[in-house]
Amino acid sequence: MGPLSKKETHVRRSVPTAGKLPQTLRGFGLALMLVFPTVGLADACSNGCKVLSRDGGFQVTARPALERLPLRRHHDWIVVVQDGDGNPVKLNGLSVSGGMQGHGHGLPSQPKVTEYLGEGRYRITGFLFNMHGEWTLRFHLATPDIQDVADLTLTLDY
Amino acid sequence: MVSRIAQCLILGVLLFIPVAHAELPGNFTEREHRILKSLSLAALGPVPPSPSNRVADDDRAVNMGRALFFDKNLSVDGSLSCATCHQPEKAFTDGKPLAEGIDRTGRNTPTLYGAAYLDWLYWDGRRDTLWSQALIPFEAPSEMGSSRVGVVRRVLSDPDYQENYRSLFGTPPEFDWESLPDHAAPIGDTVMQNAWHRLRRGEQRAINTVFANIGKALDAFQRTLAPPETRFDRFVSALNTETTAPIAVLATDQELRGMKLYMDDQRTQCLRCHNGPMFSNGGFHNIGTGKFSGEGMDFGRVFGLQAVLMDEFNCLGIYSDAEPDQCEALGHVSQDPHQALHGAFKTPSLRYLEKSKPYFHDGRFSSLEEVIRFYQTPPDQGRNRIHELQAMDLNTEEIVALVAFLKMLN
Ligand code: HEC
Ligand code: HEC
Repeated sequence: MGPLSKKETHVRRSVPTAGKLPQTLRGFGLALMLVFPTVGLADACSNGCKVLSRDGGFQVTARPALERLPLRRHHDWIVVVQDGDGNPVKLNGLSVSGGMQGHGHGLPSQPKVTEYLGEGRYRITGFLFNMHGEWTLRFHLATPDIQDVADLTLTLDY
Repeated sequence: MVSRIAQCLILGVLLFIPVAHAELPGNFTEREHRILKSLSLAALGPVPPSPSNRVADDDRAVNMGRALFFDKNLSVDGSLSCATCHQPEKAFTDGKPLAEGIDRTGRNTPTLYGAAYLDWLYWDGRRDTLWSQALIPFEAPSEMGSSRVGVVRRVLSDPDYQENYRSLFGTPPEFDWESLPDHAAPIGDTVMQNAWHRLRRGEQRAINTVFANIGKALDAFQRTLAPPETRFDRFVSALNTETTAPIAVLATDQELRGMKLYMDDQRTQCLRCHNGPMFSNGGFHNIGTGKFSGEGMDFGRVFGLQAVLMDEFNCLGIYSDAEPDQCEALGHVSQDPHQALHGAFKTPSLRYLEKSKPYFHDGRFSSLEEVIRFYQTPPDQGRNRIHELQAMDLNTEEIVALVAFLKMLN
């Protein structure tokens, strides 16, 4: 299981649990209070967060560096860029934009590529998500010959 | 016959009430339960570090900051302190639509509870640290009306402050107080500004250093203002641990209905912006409250963004104790090229609203009912519509329930 595989408990759904909840919760209620949940939302994107760029030149896999995605806190992502055959790509330029299309606003922060980690891997710092719902991330990729974009959709829920 | 029906009804009601109550806690879905936990103070965690302030967690700085916070002698005429507008018994607000210092200011006073968790200070986020924020009211002509030279002079001439200062920051620079003007600052009236520009570069630098350190003590103090627990927080922890009875005592049916509405994405969208244990995502959002001409003109974040980038006391500046890569918020500040930042304001907390009224950046609403009715039909801004809200269709009873829920947060 990759870090971004949908954890069952965080898939958006609505299960009526009339009467059942107190029993289920009694056991770990206190523990929950002590270990404060810094993570309000879990993360979810399909296909292990791997997407093909628009013109098909690149495969981009983008995931938070941490196991879970901390809401309302800046955090790093690791992005892996490969060509169509799965070979790592060292880009000349990589940047991120995005937002919530449904709500007409951009990202609350401007993530920055800070480090090339080798093997087509990049560290991007400063991701920030401050609401649940559907976020779109657009990765702008450039080599001397090709410019392309890859869009990743991320659905955050409680 | 009639009495027969009445009997049945009464019996029905008697049977129904206990059953309904027995199921109250279970009426939450798992998702709702997760949301409730995410909103509880138990999810808040410790105050995040303040890398730009070396003394942020030093008890001596906390004590010095507390004294400064309540010290009226730091205003130009000795008439007010930070606590005049940020009154502890009013959740560190003042109960006024627009704050009044030496003069009427242009904005409503926000609570200081939870301020240490914020990346951006002020309604427009024009400061990025609590210590750089604290320097503004001293010099704002409508607030405390003083100047950095006046404040530094006053602090360094007080034996207690001086001792505190020395133990925290080392020996203060030597100033020739005889030759320095009473007041001088790069902002404020022309007299103050002219006096400031006549100072030598080195003197300005030394004054700024002490001034910033005074802000750092105020930061340390404000970091200790822990948000008080409310009935809602007790309700959520009861939900985690207890059975039905205490929960029914902690929340009325009406409050529970309001709570459900608050979490219902289809009916309300409050949670998009008012989320997490402080009921704020700390971000800037346009809900159509900006004013782009006339009296009370306020563009919100679009100017706050420029101001924080230019601030010499920001996290990346020479008075900061942080390494550049520790300035996470400023280092990754979003400079949205679209219109969205015009008229965007920072999402305020929904805790302690009973104490912090009136509401919005300009204090335009004095009751929560009015606020909810605003959200029901967001302002129509014609072709320039740039706000993020969608209309709601709550009936009167639902509005009252939502308000009742918000009042659990006092
Ligand atoms: C005249 C009343 C007044 C005085 C005096 C005053 N404040 Fe404020 N304070 C305000 C108002 C009004 C705002 C919001 C202004 C804005 O957003 O433009 C504010 C905002 C703040 C904020 C930002 C909170 C947030 O959520 O962004 C902090 C922190 C703060 N003040 C601390 C202080 C400190 C420390 C002092 C003393 C050095 C002080 N204030 C003096 C009225 C006052
Ligand atoms: C798109 C983001 C967003 C949504 C959705 C939203 N709010 Fe707000 N809320 C804000 C912002 C921004 C402000 C401050 C606006 C201003 O001062 O001009 C605010 C202000 C408030 C205030 C005033 C608080 C104070 O201290 O002044 C209350 C109360 C409030 N909102 C409640 C709600 C409720 C209840 C809902 C759901 C029906 C809701 N909000 C939905 C962003 C939002």
